[in-house]
Amino acid sequence: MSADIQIMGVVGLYLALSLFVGLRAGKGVSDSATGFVVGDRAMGGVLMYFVTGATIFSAFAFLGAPGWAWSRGAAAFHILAFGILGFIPFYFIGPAASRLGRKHGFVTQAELVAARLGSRPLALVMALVSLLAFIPYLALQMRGSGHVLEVLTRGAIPMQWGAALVYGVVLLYVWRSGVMGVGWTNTLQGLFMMVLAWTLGLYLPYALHGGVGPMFAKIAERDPGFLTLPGRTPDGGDWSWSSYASSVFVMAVGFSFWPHLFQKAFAAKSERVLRRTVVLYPTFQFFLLPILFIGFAGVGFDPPPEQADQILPHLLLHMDLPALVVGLFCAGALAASMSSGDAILHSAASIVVRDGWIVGFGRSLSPNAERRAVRLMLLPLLLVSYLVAAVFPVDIVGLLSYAYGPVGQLAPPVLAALFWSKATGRGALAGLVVGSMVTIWFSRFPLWPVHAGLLGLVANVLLLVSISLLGPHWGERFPRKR
Amino acid sequence: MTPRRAHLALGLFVLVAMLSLTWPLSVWFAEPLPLVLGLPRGLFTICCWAAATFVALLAYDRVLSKDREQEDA
Repeated sequence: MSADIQIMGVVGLYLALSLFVGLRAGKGVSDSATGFVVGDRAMGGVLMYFVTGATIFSAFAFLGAPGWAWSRGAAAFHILAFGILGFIPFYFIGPAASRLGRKHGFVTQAELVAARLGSRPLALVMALVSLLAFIPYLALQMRGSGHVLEVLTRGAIPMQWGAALVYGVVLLYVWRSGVMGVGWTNTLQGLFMMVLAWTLGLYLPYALHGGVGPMFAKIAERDPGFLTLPGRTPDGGDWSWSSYASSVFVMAVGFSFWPHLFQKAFAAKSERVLRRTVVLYPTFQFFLLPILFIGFAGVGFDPPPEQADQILPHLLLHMDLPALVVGLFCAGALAASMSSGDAILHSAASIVVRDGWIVGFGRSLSPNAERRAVRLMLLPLLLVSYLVAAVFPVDIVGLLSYAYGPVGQLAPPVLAALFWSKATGRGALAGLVVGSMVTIWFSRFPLWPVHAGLLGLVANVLLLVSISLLGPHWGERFPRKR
Repeated sequence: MTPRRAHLALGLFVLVAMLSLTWPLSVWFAEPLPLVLGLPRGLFTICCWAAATFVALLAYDRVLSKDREQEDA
């Protein structure tokens, strides 16, 4: 049996298992939009841990992070740094959002903020900002999965076909089971990725350098600056402390406010489950650590890959490993891509329907019609993301860093809506619009060596506070229960 | 420990951790050598912060949970 067939066999088994778990997961959940979008608010601790954890374990983690370690050295450490503190705000905002969700029937972040601050346009703008971050991020996951299949089958499965195959499976289980399909497949994928990350993360340094310690000692001896914080830029120069620090800060601030992550506050069974998830969350960083080892193991490897993001599949292809091991890695990388992609797709569809159509435009839908509308929205969103993935070349880590900029701008309005009684919809709207524009502008035309999201946050907070203090407060703050 | 002190302690912890993980304190650990447990010092420091954050959150949650239980009782 040829190696390609064995690899495809392992991948096929993994996809079949994901589909089986995903399709069965929806049993016992109500037919309403609340059942489809937030699983009847009944997610337990294990599911919450894996849903929130696997969400960050994306194609970025399996391909982008080793690529950074291989090409930019110590700069890759920031990937661990921001995740440590990033979820702490959720210990406070998660239970507060959950309480309001149960009381008023909220299922999305923007819906909660718009209702608290009495501003429909705010829901529309938040939905738009979310989609601006979601579409390229989903495209990135698709491209990552297609790319892995293409490289490891030596072009037998082109990137476009691979992405279509993997996300066809995702579409089926998200369509059938909604958030519970996302939750249970994320649990399967999370466990699989943890085992695989540590196995490869220890094996590759051992096989190529004799162990993790000898690997770092060899790199430090050859090029001491490579492991010195804050690391290197993509062209090999020194990354500035201001860029490193502001990237960690902006990404830590934006972390809890990713709409698909925030939405899980409405899905949790209880506030206690939410708090426990946050307490356990820093442990997930230890599963990212071996991913960095994989990238560092490739330093000095001959021949080098064409692109940094290819370092892991490149190593596996050039090390004469058994096809079964290569197939397992391939399945692990697909798991990483799918575990983020499914959550984003599901959340994006619910945001378009709930925040755009129902809250933003003030239309009403019955629970069943809303569920159908969310399902139907999965198709155009997947298609648009697929086109972006197939047509535009995407730099994996650069894109993630860009996406965190606009997402970070959601933090001030959400915090203000939950904890600041003087906040107004007008202030939040102005802050969000200007903050997002500042972020996008300075991402494109950098003025100083800092993450553009930091400048956006400053503008956002200043406008939110000053306009809110000027008043007048307007709108209905607490809507009727749906 | 009272909830008020727990809030204060966690706030201070997050502040110091954020500083360490971003700029000023990290400079002290920026140099990779000597390796600590086989890891460059910067990476080892970050791992320590991950472990410390888990312990700090666990302790904070226990204090607040006890307080909530007492309130409920």
